[in-house]
Amino acid sequence: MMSPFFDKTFTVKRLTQSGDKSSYQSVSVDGACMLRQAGAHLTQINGLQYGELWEMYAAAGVDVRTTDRVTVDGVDYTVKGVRSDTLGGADYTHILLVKKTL
Amino acid sequence: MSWSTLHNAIKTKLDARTGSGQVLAAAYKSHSVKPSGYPYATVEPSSREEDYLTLNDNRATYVFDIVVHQEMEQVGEERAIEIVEAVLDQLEKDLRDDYTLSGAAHVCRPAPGEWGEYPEESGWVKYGSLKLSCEVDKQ
Repeated sequence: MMSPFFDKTFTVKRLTQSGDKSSYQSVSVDGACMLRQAGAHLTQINGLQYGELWEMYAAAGVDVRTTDRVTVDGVDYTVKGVRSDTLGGADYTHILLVKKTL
Repeated sequence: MSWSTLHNAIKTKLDARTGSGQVLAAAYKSHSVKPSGYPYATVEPSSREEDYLTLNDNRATYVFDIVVHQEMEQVGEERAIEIVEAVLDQLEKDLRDDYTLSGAAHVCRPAPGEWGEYPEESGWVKYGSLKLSCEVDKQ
């Protein structure tokens, strides 16, 4: 039910530890998703400003975790939360993203 | 000599400790960054002010903060502290061995600085710092 709305693709990078150092390594590419700016209430309760919090919808079971970095349309976001959900019997993943400009 | 010259010279010292087989994943010239990995080091001019040592010597002191950042979500706080300690020890040794910053300063003196932690989008980060005082001959 959700997949017809997935009009963008995303890439996931994850902090990977190697010895005493860690770096962000690519985990997956070209996953399908829908991305939209979070509403006023959700943005406010997360202590952020308009444009900083985004919502991404992707397929159920997608390998995305809190603290991952997601790239959509060349813009980097940090994953703040991941939730499995159902709409009309169709499973999907709801992901909260923070857009960091620095 | 100027802030810019010293800032670049310190960044060059930090860069020498990045990459394969080195203690740092990356180094940056400002504290607020989106790092490529951990641990990473940042250097900025300090808020601490210093004046001329003496007017006769015509020598001034510039102070910089070098901060080492290590995330704690993956390695845990105890290991994060050990990693930051090891990096700070290495950087302090490097700065004592090359106390002129390859000629950019008359003498530089690293001193232990503040420690703490702060929340990032990716979780809590431990940091430790060095306060680097650089004496420069003024013309």
